[in-house]
Amino acid sequence: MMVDIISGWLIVFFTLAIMSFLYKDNPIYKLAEHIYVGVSAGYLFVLAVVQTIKPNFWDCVAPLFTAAPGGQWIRVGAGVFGVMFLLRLHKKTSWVSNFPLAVMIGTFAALRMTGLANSDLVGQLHGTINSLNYRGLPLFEWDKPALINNLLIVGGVICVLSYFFFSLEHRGVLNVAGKTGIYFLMITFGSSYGYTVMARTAVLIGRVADLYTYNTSHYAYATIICAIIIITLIHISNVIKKRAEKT
Amino acid sequence: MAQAQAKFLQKILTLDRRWIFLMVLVIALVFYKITIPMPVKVTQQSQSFYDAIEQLKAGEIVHITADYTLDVIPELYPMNKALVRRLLEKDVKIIVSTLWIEGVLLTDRVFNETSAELQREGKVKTYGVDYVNLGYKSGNDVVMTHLGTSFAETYPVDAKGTSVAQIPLMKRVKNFDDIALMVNFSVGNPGIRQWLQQVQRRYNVKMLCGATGIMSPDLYSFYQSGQLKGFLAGLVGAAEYEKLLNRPGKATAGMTVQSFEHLIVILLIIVANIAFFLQKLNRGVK
Repeated sequence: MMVDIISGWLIVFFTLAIMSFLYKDNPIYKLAEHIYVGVSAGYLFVLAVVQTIKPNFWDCVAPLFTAAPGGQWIRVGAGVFGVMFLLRLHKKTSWVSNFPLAVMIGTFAALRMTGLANSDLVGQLHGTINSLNYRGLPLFEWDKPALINNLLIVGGVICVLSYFFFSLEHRGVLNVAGKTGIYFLMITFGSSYGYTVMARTAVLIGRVADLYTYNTSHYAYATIICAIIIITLIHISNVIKKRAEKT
Repeated sequence: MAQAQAKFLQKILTLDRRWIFLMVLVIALVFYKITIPMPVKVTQQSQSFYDAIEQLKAGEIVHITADYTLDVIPELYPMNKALVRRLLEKDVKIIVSTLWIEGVLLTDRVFNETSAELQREGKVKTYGVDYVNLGYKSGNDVVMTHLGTSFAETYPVDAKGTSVAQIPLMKRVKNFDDIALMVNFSVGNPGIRQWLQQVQRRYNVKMLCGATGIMSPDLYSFYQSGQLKGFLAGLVGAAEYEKLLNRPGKATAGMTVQSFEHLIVILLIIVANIAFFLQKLNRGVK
């Protein structure tokens, strides 16, 4: 019960403290920001130990030294790589960390390359190659053959690719296609902007919902009281700042 | 007169943005309380999402990847919760993993709330039998591809530290071959794009997604190409899913604020553009 009320107060205080940045940068916002960073780092560290280091390393390596079943020598290699990474912290031994870093970069580059080629290149190309009277396009399924929509997809791809084709001077047909490509891009950016507004509004709705939730007698009107406290503190910090500037 | 007009236009174009913030906040505060029912039109991608879930049979296993954070709770949490509830109602088994740390907390919250709701309705769902939270794992793309080899090797223990060998549901799963459907709730990288790149085509996994509004425009091409079988786009996607389930929730309630906020943004864009062009015109005349 008490924990519930304290949690409510903390939620409201930190919400309003972070929102106060919209007025201007102030010490309350800074305080909230630093606490957030500290808590996140602590939480991340604990989770890394509990969910990664312990089950993936410690629990597999410890049995090797206790003669218990389930020990895996290969996991020692992972531990060695981890230690090699940490040697980066010391100036004289920092070069050692280049080896595990090289393995990581190589692995990720290869994974990403094959993944991108498979999904974003081949998969998307496959999606673009449509028969003009194909009815099965999931987004634009019409009763009649979706000629206009298919033309838009194929035409849009060709025009946008033309805009990014720099091996020939943009004249004639290439110029027209490239300029049309700009309009396709602009429509895409507009749609992204619209969705961004929607997403930001959704975040605000979440905060407003919480502010109302905790502004009840059960939570001792946390929202109103926290708002008054924060406004007062910001005002005091402004006054102190002005006085300091004068002197 | 012309001078007054120029001054007014200048004032509009140099308006302190804090007034806009205040306007947006007031609208949110007012219209969160005064709810005007807004029509929710179900889009084709949301309908496909719904259909894919409804086609699942009891006993089949769904892998949910809760790759989102606390700040996008208003967008993704309602759809996550609605989906989990629907799957448990259908007696579909759920395995959740996350590549974002906060996903562990959010998954626990979803399961706690949903199982409590179902228990009140007389439907008891058991951890380890009906659902499992495998928790967080660092490693992004490597984790994704390794799941294709073995779930148990990638996640030797669940979020509570219990060995997966002791969890009945996990005994039924070796890799993606045993997963009927995968649903990703995505806020960024790692998210749906990486799951599509590393898992969808490589392991031929049927995939759905619930994404934030910002990510959604990118997903249409993957839906059109068939790589995604359906997706929910932001808060409006969640509201559409609630409508399809005939269970209005937090997303539907947020539609009034959303609509009025959009209206004010549209009005501000129009007013600022008119002021901009009028000022340009006036300068041209001079």
